[in-house]
Amino acid sequence: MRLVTAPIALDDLLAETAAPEAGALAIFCGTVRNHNENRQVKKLSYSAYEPLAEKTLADIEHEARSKFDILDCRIVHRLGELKIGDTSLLIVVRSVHRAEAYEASRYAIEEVKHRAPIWKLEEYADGTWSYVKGCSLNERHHVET
Amino acid sequence: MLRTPVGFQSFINAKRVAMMEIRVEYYGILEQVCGTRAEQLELQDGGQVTVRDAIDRLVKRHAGLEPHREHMAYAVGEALIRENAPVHDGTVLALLPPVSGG
Repeated sequence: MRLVTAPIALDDLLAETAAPEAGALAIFCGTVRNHNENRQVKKLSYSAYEPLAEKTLADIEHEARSKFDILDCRIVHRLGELKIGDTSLLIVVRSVHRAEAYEASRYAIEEVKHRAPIWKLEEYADGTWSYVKGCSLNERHHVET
Repeated sequence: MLRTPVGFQSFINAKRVAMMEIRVEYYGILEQVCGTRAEQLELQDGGQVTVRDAIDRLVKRHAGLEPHREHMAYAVGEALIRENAPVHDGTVLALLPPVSGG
């Protein structure tokens, strides 16, 4: 499960990826901040096209393992309503040495932001809301057919 | 022997044009633009019917969809598909605006 509505369980991800040969563990944690483009953000809501989002996150994990000399990569994204400070995303990478863990983690978050069909709806302090501007999937040439 | 009037026969033939129905799902801002999460769309099933045909119909139904068209992507199941991909009776077509996860 890479899309969850409950808080993301870091301990579970650490246990799933535990490896005695790993000398490095990189954890990237995306959190909800209280401002965006000069506006005060009150809360966020994430939604997804789940069939493709789940597959895209799995693809990115696989790509990270193929492109970098790492032992494991796991990505979990939260959906639903989140408060300021909540964790929206966790990426866990384990490798023998630190450089590959950092690189793979950076690769994974950039790909998630550009490719995963997930949308962020911000609600502002004044009661208005808007979807955050994002990346078009049809400009990225990931179309399969 | 009774003969069917020509005008009446044309009417019957016209009624025989096969129709198909797809389900369209709207995500992100497109749900607000179209005022619904999902809806049925009936299309004439003559020759190859494509995503483009469906979108042409939908922008007539929802004028607010047109400005989003250039940046929309389309998916069926786990796969992104192009505007020239075929749709069939029962296809569930997802309309995906630019993404902003993370």
